[in-house]
Order: sequence, then structure tokens, then C-alpha cells
Amino acid sequence: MEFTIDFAQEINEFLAAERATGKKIIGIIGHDIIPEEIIRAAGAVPLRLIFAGTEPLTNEGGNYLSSTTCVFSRAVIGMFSRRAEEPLWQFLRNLDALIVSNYCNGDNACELVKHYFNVPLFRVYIPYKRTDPALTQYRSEITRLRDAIGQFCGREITDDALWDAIASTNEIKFKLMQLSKMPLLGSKKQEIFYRAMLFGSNYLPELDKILSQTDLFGPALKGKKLLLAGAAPFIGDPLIEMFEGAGAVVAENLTWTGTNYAMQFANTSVRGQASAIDELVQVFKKNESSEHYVPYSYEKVAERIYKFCADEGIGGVIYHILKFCELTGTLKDKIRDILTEKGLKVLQIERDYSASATGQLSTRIEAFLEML
Amino acid sequence: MSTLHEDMEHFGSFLRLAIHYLYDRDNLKRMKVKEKKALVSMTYPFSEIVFAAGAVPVVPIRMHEFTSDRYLSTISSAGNLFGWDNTAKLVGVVRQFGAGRNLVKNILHDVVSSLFAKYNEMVAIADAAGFAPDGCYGMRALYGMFATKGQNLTLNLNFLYRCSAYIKFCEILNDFVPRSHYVDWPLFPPGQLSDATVQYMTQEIEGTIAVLEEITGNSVTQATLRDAARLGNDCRQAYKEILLDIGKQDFWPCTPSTFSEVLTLLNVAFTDGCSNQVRFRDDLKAMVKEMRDNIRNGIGTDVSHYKKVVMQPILGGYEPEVQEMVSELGGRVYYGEWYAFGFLDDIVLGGDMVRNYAEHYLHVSGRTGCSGIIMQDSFLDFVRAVGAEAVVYSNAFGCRDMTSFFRYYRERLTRELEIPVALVSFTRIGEGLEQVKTRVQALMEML
Repeated sequence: MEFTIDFAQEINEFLAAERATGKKIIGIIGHDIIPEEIIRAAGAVPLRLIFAGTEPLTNEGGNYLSSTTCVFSRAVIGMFSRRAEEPLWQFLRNLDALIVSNYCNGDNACELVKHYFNVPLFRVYIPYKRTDPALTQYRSEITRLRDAIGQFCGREITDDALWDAIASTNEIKFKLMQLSKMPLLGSKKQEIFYRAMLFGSNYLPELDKILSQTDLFGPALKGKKLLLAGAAPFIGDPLIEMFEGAGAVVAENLTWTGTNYAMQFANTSVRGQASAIDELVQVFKKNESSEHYVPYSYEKVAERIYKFCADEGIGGVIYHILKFCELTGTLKDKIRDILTEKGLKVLQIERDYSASATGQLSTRIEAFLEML
Repeated sequence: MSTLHEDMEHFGSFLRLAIHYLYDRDNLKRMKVKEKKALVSMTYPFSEIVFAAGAVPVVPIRMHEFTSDRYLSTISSAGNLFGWDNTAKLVGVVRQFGAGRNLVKNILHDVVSSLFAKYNEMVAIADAAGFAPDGCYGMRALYGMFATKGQNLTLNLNFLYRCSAYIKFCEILNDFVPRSHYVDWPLFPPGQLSDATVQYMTQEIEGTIAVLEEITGNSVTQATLRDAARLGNDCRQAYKEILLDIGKQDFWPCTPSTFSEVLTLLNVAFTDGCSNQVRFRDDLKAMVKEMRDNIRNGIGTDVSHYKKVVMQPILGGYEPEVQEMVSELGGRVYYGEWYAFGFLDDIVLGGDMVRNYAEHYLHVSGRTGCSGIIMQDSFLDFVRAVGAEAVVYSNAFGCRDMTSFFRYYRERLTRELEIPVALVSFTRIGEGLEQVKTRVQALMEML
């Protein structure tokens, strides 16, 4: 999905309209840990920064960060640097604050938006473990975040408000889970995911319409089925289109911008018995397949990929790595080894946002598909 | 290269520490095999908790043989025979054992060079294994150490330092060691240390103590924690005395080049205290005493005209030849990462020691982990502490953590302190020296 001026304008208009009603716009670096429900419960609008970079943007970000910082974080800084003059990124001017965390070095590096671009920050520090003390620490952190965001937005975030936000976010996520099983092209599903993540409940009518018009038991798509894992493809990144253009079907996108996002939902049936914060802690606890986890993250990631492939009859895995992304890059060979041992074919793709490698990538994709 | 004859004659304590750091292989083997001690590695200088359990902290590179071993074995024998304080006799014996005058006068440099050569060798092992070609030098060196010597350890303690590349790398180390334990090292917003965070750190330490007790069969008590912390604090005091009290003076007990090599050795040895806390404390105290004596007796170098240059960051890897370049151009190089990050600040000895350890770890976390900006500010604190006149900033290839915010750091240095800084790229020791030299020369000309 190309990230066009039109789409950027659509986002801009959406954010501007929300702001006009007095809502705050709070950005999140696009990953799987920060509970956006807290932002919604404050009556604010979460804006996931899930926009792919370009070579000029990463170069621009390189003026602020070293050249071996991940390409995504450099691109994010580049976007902020250009938001004043470049129409594509002007929607970022609506941002009232940004949440950064220790999810990864790239996320942490985005704190520079405060220093250089005067965007207020909220910080969240995420434990690497899922032990009881770690969960207590996480609880303390998201409680602090809840209180800080509530104060920023001028309202107390009650337990009821948080449960309501969880329920409405769940609704979107459940529907996205449904969508992920539909016989649609991966690129089409990806576009819907992006829109749902950006526009939230406002996108529900459109999502309902798509679901009602799509037959779960309709004819299967032709093409070799693939699962995408590793680093998320962001808006404007043609990765999925490249595979589908070569005749494959990306049946599952198990990254932050795909099914992995939709899977992180809370159990609303315990409302009244447990606090909403405690339930968000449970979501965190269950998220052991997150790259932000030790000590057996690669085993858990590989286990989940294998399960999805087995359930859906997928024989090939694309493991995507953004250049200098350590969370997906460091353990990539271990994940590949586990998956190949189980009989899956794995294609590792490590790339930055430069356009020059596209031809070579196409050749590798074709060769991989021939192997399946 | 430095010629250090004059230092050698009056600087036996350096050799003593070097031997205990680099020539301790047989001792480690004895402790493991005969004394059935548990060897425990940890990347960051949190050795006290290991000592408190009666285990032996060790950085795996120390289990290797070094090219300097032929000197060191001779000197070690002489040291044990005549006592380490008898420096003159020690040097005489070294000569008798075949290390001629030229070798002797460069022995200090050889010792440090052999350490760096070993680091390069470790990196080559990582490269041959195809490990993280875009990872930083420090991480690849660790890979080589653990791949070659990790099996000799009983336990590897992974302190989850803020760099996510390092944290993920720790999972790879599991393959090389019999057992791993992860210590979450929580972060907190600047100036907002909460009770919950202290509680979490405390629980992580209690969990670590339980693992250490299990592998050693010893009990870790308030008393053993306090004793280890007290000895550790003695080491910190001595380290700071050398780095700051003596380091800031205009008369040094050695040449500027040797002083930088002392700081190099202190930097590496501080992580595991050469596996023997009492010995390490004594080595450092002996070094302080020898330095003070030399200064008092007018033995040393007037360094008042040498410009003070801080080299940082060094943990991800740096080019040691820079100190020679700077020295030749009229400068003196300081390394002070442990100071900058708060590792040299004392552990409180009163009250509950587990909590004191927790607060110490969090104190360091507060200086390194909370924010990239705070980390650079910590670097700046060291520049201020020594009154540096310039900075050489080592931009280790593959570093996504310490060096990411160089622009911010440069702005603070140049605008607020009006101190010039040279950014030097670093890939591997000994590579690209011409380019490094050009940058260092330009920096020194500015002074």
C-alpha cells in the first residue's frame, strides 16, 4: 500500500477533527506492549507510528541519530524533522505527546522528538520477564502511565472508563482476527489493518461492511501461501505486494501490524472481578512471543510461527528484518533453524528503506517461491 | 609505541595487577577443579554479589592464554619469590630470565597490547561463526569469549542492561554456558525512582542470590553481602583516587602513555576484580601507594603542559592506539566509563544489604538506562570531573545504544563547555588508523 498524500491528508483530517473536539493525540511507537486502551480511556486518540521510511527520511534521521540506529527510528525522527514543510508528514503536527519506552534501542531513541521537536513525552519501562515481580513492576508502570495521561488529558481515568476502552478496542481486534482468516489477499488485509489501527472505532462500520461482504468459506486464493514474521511492514512499504506480485499469497501477517496486534486482547468477562489494569497486566503476561522478552524469546516466537503455519497449511515463512533492528535481527538464525527443522521453508529478508535493492529482492522472492 | 623503561623501574604495581588479570588461568583452573568453586561470569562490574556467595566472578577472556604470558610467568614467579614490593629486584630477575632490556622497557605496553590482540582474536571467532556482522565490537568480542571458554563456567549472569541488542545477544550465550540467569535491571523515568522499582530490583537480587546459593551450596547472608560490598567500596575508592585525585594532578608518577594504560587495565580488571576481591583491593591500594610515593620522590613526569583528553564511550570497543597518538601530540588520555555510569559510587553498608545492592544497581541504571540523553549527560559529568579540554568520541560500528545520541552530546560539549570533540570510527583494533590519526591530529591542533 503506497503511502500517498491523499491518505496522509485523510489521517490529517481525522486527527484535526478529533483535536477540534478537545481530544489529545498521543503517539505510540508501533509495537506490541503499550496498551493503547489507556489512551482511549482518557478520551484521547492513539496514533500508532506505523509509517514506513524512505531513504531520504532515514538520511534525515541520520542527522540526529548514528547511522547504525535502526532504520525505522531514524525514519521516525526524519518524519518529525520534515513535518513542518513536507505535506506527507504534516499530520504529525497534530501530535500532542508521544509515548516512548525501552522496548528497543530504536524506541528509546525516539525520545529525541522532545529535545529537537518539542513534543512532550511519556516514558514507560517494560520488564523483560514475565515473573510475578516483573508483572508487579509492569503494573506499576502502566498505572503511572494511566495517571500521567489522565492528568495530561484533564480527566481521571476510572476503572470503568478503562474497561469501556478495552471493550471497544477488543471489538476492533476481534474483527481483525476474523478478517485475518478471510480468503483475501494479504495486501488487502494489511490495508484494512492499517486503517483500523489508525482510525479505531471510527473505522468499525467500514470493517463490518468488509466482513459482511467476504465469505469465510469462499474460494481459496490461488498461490503459494506464506506467513510473514519478524519486523512489521509499515504503511508505504511494498513488501507484501512484492510477494503477492510474484504469485504468492501472504495468508498471515504475524507482526505488530498484523495478527500479532489483533491477538493482544484483554478478557472482558472478568470485569467486575478484577481491575482493568490487572487485566492489562494479564495481556502482557501472555505475550511471551514478544521480541521484548527473555529468556526464551526465539523459541516462543518460532513455536507460534509454526503453530500458525500448521493450522493454516502454510509451508513458507518470510522472516523480515529491518536493518539494525536487533530484536528481530539478533536471533533470526535460531528462529530459522527451529522452523526448518520442523519442515518449513524460511526466507530471511534484511533490508533498509532504500529502493536500490528492490530488483535483487524480487529475484530472491521468485527463487524462494520456486522452492515451495 | 611508548617506551616505558622509566615506568617499569618504579611501577611494579602495574605488573602485579596485570599478572593477576592476564596470568590467572591456572589459578582459575585450580579454583574450579580442586577447590570446586563455581566460576560465574557477568559482563558488568557487579562482582560483589558473586563474591558474597563464595563463587568466583570471571570475565571469560581471562581463561585464555596471552602472548605476554612468557613475561608474565617469569614476573609472577619473581613476584611470589621476592614479594611484589621489591620492584627493583623484580625487574632484575626479569632481565636474568631472558627478557632483555628492550623487552623489559616495553613490557607494560606488551601486556596491554596482548590483551587487545586477544580481543581482536575473539572478534575473529565471532566473525568466522557468522555472528552479527553488524553488531558492535564489544558484543562480538563477548561472543568469542563465551564460544571458547563459556563451557568452563558454572553460571552466566545476564544483567539486562538497556541496550536491546545486548539483551537479545544474551540469549545466544545460553548455547555456550551450562546455565544462565537473567537479572532484570529495571529502568525508571529520570528522577522518578519508585518504591515499586526498588522492590522489583530487590526481588531480582533475591532471585539471583537463590541461584548463586544453589550452585555454590553456600548461604549468602547480610554479613557476606556487607563484607563483599565493603571490599568493593575499598576498590572503588582506590580506583577513583587514581582516576581523579592523581589523574587530575600535573605531576604524574609515570608517562602519560603509561597512565592511560593503567586506566585501561583498571577498566577491564574492575569487572571481575581479577576473581579475587581481597587481592584486587590490595593490588589497587599498592598501586595508589606506589604512585603517591613516586610523586613524593619526584619520580615521574611533569604533565602540566599535556592537554587533558577524554576518550569515550569505550564499552562497545575503541582504538587503543589513540592514546599513543594523543600522547605524541602533547595530550593525556583518560578513560572513565565506570565513573560516568556511577559504578564507582559506594554501596551503602548500613541497614538491609539486599536493598542497598538494589539501590546501587538502580543508581547505575539511573545514569545509563533511563534515557539516551541522560547517558550522554553522564559522559559529560566525567569530562567535567577531570576538567578535560577535548574529547575523542569512539563511534563503534554497530553500536545502537551509547553512540546514537552523538549529535546531542556534541552540541552540549561544544556549546556549553566549549570543548572540541573528534568523532573517530571504530570497527576493529588496528583498522583505519590513518583516518583516526588525521582526526586526532586535527583535534589536537585545535588545542
